[in-house]
Amino acid sequence: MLYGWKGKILRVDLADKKVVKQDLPEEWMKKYMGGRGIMTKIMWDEVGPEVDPFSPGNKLIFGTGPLEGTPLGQGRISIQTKHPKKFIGEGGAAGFWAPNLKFAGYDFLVIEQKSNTPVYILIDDDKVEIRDAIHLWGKDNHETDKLLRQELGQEFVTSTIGPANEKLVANSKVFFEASYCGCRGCGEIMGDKKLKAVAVHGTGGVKIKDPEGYLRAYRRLLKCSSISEGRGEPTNLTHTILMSNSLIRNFNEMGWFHAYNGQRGRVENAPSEMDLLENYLVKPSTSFCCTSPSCGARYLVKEGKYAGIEGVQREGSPGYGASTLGGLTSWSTLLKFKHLCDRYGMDTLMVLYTVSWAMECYQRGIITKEDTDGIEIKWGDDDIVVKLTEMIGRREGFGDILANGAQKAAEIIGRGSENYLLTIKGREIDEQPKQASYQTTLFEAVCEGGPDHTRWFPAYGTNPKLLPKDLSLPYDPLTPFNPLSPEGKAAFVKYRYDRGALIEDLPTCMAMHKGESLWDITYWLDIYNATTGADCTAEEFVKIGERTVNLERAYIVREGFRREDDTIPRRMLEEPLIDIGLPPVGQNNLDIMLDEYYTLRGWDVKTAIPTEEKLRELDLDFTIDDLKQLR
Amino acid sequence: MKKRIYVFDDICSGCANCLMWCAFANKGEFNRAYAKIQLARDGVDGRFNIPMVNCTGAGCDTRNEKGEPLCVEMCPTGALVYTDAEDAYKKRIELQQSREAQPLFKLIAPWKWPFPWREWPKKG
Repeated sequence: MLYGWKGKILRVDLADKKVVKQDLPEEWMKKYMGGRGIMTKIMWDEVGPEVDPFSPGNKLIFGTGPLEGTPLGQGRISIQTKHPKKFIGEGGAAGFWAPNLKFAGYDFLVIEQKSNTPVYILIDDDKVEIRDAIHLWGKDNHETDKLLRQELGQEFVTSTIGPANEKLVANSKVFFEASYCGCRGCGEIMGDKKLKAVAVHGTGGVKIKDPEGYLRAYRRLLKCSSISEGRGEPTNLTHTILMSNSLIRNFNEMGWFHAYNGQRGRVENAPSEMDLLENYLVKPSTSFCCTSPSCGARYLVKEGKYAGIEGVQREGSPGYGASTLGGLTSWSTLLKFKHLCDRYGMDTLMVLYTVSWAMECYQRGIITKEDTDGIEIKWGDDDIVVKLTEMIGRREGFGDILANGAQKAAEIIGRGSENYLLTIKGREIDEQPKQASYQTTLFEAVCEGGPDHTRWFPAYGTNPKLLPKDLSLPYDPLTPFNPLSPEGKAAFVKYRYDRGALIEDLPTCMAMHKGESLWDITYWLDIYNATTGADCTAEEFVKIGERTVNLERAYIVREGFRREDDTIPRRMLEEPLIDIGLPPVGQNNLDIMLDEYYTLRGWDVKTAIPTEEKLRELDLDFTIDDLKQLR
Repeated sequence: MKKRIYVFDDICSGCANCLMWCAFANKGEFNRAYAKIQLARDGVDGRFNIPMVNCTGAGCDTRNEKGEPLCVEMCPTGALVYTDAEDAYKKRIELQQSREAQPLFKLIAPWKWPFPWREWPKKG
């Protein structure tokens, strides 16, 4: 018997109101491990290309892995579905929900079919019920969480959706404990299924095969990722405490922003993380067993017109987005924006890039006051950003058009507005540099889950001075430090992406992926073997990550994605960033990187379909027949 | 003086590392039922996180090189301290005073993160 996993998949059919507990095949544990790997396998088997994302046939999967429920699992949960744009809709979040699912005795929760009326699911160890949620429908994430815990007890942990998800606002997210969120697009499907919440409480635990080995491996990993040991990352010290927020000013100095919807690389004044820390943050707050002291921190706006709002500032989006929207500097506005997104259940990136697109169209006279119900949407206007966010969340007036996401909104408006879209595979990009960093460009182009840098973090290289002399890496360690050349980027991206998939299969937090653990696989292998007793070899272990990525690629190929979909927004491909003097990426450079990437991966260069040989090598034989017809 | 576990709950991040590792030290399994520590926690927005513990560390053999039990070793902010009453009092004063010089100590403890932080700019 393998430790770590609970060995159970919980299936809930919302139409027939049926609950089935199914065994998780041991073969899957060894082959796909957990998280993204097993979820993609379920999707491949059960959600074919004939299934429309908004039909009852689409499924929503909540997935954990063998390490979840142990400290290294760090509360990570992955959610996967067929994204409304048909690629792999997958995203991670954290909190106490995932460990509670494990403690209740399940590794995976699969939501099937659709309900006619709003429902929520209650999981209390063995007891699983589908309950009526009419009283919760229309309530925001905070209210829903509060009401549910009043109803069920404080010990319950919730995942909820807000009113924006109910109205199918594009790319909306699933929220855990009303503050941890991720999974851009999964919330939309959850809303479509009329599933308002899943409340979980578990009283069990996770047994460890070799406790001493686990502790040894965990201490070693802690030491390697700890900045206080002086072996960490080439970022500033505050990165440990404030995470992405600490890099806002660095991004601005480097010209890495998509300022004014990507027209420039920097803004005059970026919001300062020191201001955030000194005047807004009040208390640390993290996910289950996080090793960072304050990956998210509790904020409180003390004065001004937004006085009194509070919540958890966990991601960089609001701070980075300040430039995208034309140089906002006030944290109280940015926190209000984040607060609104949290309450409604929206994706901050979707709102950011859709609003910034509208602002540019307004600047160019493509959109006028006639389209916007008389509102002037000018760059850097704090009040308009807050107002539009509310309108999108409620689908009111012009907000109803924007709520469809930037791409659909551009289709509705027309008039050449699509030229200013910052979308990849139909979804809004995230705040990673493109013209200034070719490795990020390549990754965001090829990523099976749409643009999402968290699937391959970190995007920067390791200081070559820290690398052992006898180490041989599959990429040139200097490559990432030469970000304006297409050369060698493919090998770097492939290496980090495969490793990222492995990290998310375990699962653990990408932020643990630091220092020596970036190249020394034993950091992860030791802890995996100590937990599960699987006696996995390093060779087989690394293969799990590659297998995950290849299966994901096979899935989106079957959905119709080909090489031409692996691209970046037109603007980044064709327009220079004049203010920081950077040329556009250029189709030519992108093609060089793509050719090299597909070749390295063992995929067909013309179509980006994995070759039969590669699929056999990775024991993915069951995909061969389906893909053969598509070649 | 006699050592015990002291809690500075205003810098507790609510991560539950302490109770999971306490259970691990007791039974080699990550299970809340085996922990001597309870966490009073309101997950939404981290409204409150209060570890509740009454423990002198007696009988807990899994220690690090500093002699700290696992719950203290694995606390990422420094909210848990294994010490005597006099030192705990000193630490409380130290924490309050260090906040005036460096707002990061709203989130972390200087004894856990002792490396030299950049001086905070003076106002005005």
